[in-house]
Amino acid sequence: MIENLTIGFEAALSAENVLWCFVGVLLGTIIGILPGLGSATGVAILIPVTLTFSPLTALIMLAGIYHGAQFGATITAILIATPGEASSVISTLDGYQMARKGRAGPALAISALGAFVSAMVSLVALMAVAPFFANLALDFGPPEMLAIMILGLCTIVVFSGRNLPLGMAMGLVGVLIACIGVDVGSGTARYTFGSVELFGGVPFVEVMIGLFAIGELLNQLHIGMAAPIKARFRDLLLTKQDLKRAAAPTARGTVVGFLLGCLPGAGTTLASFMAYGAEKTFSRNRKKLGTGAIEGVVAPDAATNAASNANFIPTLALGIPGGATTAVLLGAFLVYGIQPGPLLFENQPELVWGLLVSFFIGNVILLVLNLPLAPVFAQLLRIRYAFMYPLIIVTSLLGAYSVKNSMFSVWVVIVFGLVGYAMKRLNFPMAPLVLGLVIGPLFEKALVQTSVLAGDDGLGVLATPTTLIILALAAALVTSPLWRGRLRRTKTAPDQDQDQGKTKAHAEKGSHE
Amino acid sequence: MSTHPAPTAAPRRPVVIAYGVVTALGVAFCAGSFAYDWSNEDGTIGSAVLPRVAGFLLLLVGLWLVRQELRGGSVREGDGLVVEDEGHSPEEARRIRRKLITVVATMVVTALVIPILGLLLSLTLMTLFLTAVVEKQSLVRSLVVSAVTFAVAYLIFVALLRIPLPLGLLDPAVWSVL
Amino acid sequence: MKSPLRTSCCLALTALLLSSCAVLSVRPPVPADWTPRGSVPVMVAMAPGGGSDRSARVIAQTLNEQELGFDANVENKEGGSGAVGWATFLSEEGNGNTLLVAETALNTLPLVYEDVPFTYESFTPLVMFAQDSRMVVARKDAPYDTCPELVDEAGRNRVIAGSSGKTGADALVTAELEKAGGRFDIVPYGSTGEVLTGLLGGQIDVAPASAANAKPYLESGDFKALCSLSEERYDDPVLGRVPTAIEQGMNATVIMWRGVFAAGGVADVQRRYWIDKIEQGMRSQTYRDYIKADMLIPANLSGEKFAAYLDDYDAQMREIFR
Repeated sequence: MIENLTIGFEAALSAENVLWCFVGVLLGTIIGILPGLGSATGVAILIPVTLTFSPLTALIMLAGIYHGAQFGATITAILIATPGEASSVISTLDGYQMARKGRAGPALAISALGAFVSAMVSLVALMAVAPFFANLALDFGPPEMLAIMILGLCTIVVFSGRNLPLGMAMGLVGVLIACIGVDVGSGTARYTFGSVELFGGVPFVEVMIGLFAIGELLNQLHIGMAAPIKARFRDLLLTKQDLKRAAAPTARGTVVGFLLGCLPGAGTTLASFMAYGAEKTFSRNRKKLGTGAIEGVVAPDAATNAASNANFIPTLALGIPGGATTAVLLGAFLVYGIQPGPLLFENQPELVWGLLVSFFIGNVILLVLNLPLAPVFAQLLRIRYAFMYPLIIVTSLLGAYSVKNSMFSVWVVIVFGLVGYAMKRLNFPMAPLVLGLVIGPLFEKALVQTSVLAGDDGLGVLATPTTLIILALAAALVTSPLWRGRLRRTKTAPDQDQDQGKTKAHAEKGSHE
Repeated sequence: MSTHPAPTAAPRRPVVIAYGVVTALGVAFCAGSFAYDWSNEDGTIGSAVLPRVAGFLLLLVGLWLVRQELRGGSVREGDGLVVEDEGHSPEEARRIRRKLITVVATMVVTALVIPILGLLLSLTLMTLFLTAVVEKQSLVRSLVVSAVTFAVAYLIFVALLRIPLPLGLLDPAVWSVL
Repeated sequence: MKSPLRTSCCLALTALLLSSCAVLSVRPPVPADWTPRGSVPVMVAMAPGGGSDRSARVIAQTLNEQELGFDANVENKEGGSGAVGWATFLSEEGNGNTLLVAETALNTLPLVYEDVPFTYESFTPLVMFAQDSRMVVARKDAPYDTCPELVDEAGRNRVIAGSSGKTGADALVTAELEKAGGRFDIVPYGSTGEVLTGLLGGQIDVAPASAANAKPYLESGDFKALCSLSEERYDDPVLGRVPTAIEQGMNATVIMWRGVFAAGGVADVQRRYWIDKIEQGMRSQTYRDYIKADMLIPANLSGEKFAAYLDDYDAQMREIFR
């Protein structure tokens, strides 16, 4: 591995490559900031620009865009609750709350730092054990994926807050909305009512922009215009305590993200949700999640980054795209006359290791660029809301349009903006709805595939050790409110309640009879 | 969950209506699923299964929620209506409602004029309208903000990313055929 | 000052009036020396990064390389396996300043989904610039080596195949194999990448794959090719060793086309202009590199011939999908 790394560094570390990597990161951050335009679109749009470069330089720049876009998406999610990309939806939950409390700087900084750490760790893991994980991922057939999706649906329990039936209802609404369009299983066009636009389903990113950005904006107008946030400089920096609190969630997020990222098709969005779910279950501060807890920012961001790196495992080891962006990058390989496949490592070691090394370089540049910029970005919140909200509308509609160059997207944003506003007013939980939207189609696909594989065996296909373990996890998760409740009743003052009792006490008054 | 004795409070109308809408959604999807096949020719799971099951479950959960609310309204975290006592006077509340309607209407109008004026111009005019007219900011400032918005959006979307934004009637292609 | 509410209502009315005017406007006749101007959108109904997107970008590039005084820009409008993009292209009726790059699914999609508002006849065919075929691949330890053996096995035992779409090439491949007498359980996947993963992981037994997709796995020895469904063998050291189904005694071929269209109802002068320039572009190095890298079958049918080809093709598809 060391000699391979040397090959990589020799190939990647030319002044020209580092420069283009920097340009890529910068461009990627801009693209990521724009709602709707994610890393996949960014890479696809800029592939023609890179055609004049040598293959390695071009790939390095595209990798820079890829990483930059991921972080850019988080910036707007935290500052104005506008997720720039599907995988940063979850950052709006706690990141935005932190920003509203005047802690946008630390939120952005910890997000950058967490992403950096998890990227580094997952890259080392990627280089060391890619073939091992790739083979492991191959054993994950439809039944195993089905079990994972069931586990995913079960996290609705932890996302529901106190009213479980309401959380379930929102999750079901999400699943049903995702049913609209041509289904993967039998290719039937469902609930399209003759509208061709709906063939492709209700577009996810546009729904997110509507629910979160426009919904939150209308909510702010209702509350009476958010005051500009003038944070003291001291508040813009990370404290030692922040770092200490972020360590464990980063580790958990990295592991969750890496494992899910290995599986082709599971995607980074799911990883970010599962990481947040893990925090809700395991974190010592789990009660504070949703009110602006640093754990809720750093864990999903770490997971997203780890997952997007792990996405490259099937790509590099087997030549199979692990996610949307890696699929586009694979397309770029072809443009440069490189045939991705199982022999890529052997045939093009310089290219592969150069690319992996450039991931390192890209992440370092990203951190160097963004740590000092985090407080600067946070200053955006000083803009008076009277100017701020028109700008949010402009970026939302513009971003939505450019996802598919379609007016339909613009209308989806507006309609779901109203839905989001109503949900905010009624205090309905958003996360289960989003989870249902993400998992619904994946669940159905795995279900249909499993039913084909099952043939006459019926449920027998589900009886593999892997699926049983995952299903047991799911069962533990579903029943967790029960045993949690019993724990709470037997202990008069549970220790995790004590260190946060003050902030939470008034919020819980209504629920503790 | 049902072991919790529900705190007594009058059912809140908006919440009941919202639960009703959710329930109706379940009914609609469940009923709609009968247009599709429960199983495919080869006996595998068909396209009606997920919407019918999920729709039916939503119907059940929705009814449960409605019942819960009618039984006295649960003031639990997670479903409480954000109550209207945020210190708004009736006059203020009316002003806020009017502004909300105006902003939504402005978005709708903007979306409607995009095919005519093009995307960037419509959005710029919308910014100007919202800042200058709705928010009553000074005209100079509003103009500057709108102009900067236009310039930045043009630079990023058109010059840098070359995304083909619609130009509406200003599209040279419309005039070139004349 | 008027209330903002009233102002916005007035605006809404004006907007509606204006848009109805835009609908009423009539296009004047096209002059005999017509040339495209400004930015020419090259529409492709698939997502960036895929095969269709790539072909559209190549066509746009070959046009731009000729420096004809316009700028061809690829516009992706994906969704519903192409349905969204093609339905949108309907609204360009009569507009000669725009192009569409499409493929086989333009024939098959309207057959599977009867409620889409377009058929292949809705657009003006210009040039078919490439054909593609499929191979049938299996893991290297599979008990069959040729397509007839596979069909034979599938008639007696359970064989599980993967497919990446109801309207795409994979559906045509399984239709051909079933026509020959095999019976398959077909696992639906979201993309070719997922199908290949399933095959590598042993969840499925056989899968259709394009030449470009199959080649690396044949080289590495993970897969073996049972047959190629092209009319002739591939001109390639690795793929050339794979016999066609016809050689193996099965009357089965799967041919997909890729072509450029103009909107419906464009003027004759516009149609002739585009055919001329696209054919010119197909003589470029860019085009030749593309055909070679993607292992496509070069083709060149234009105008009436392309239209006739599409009619034939549609008749074949009707038999398969009915």
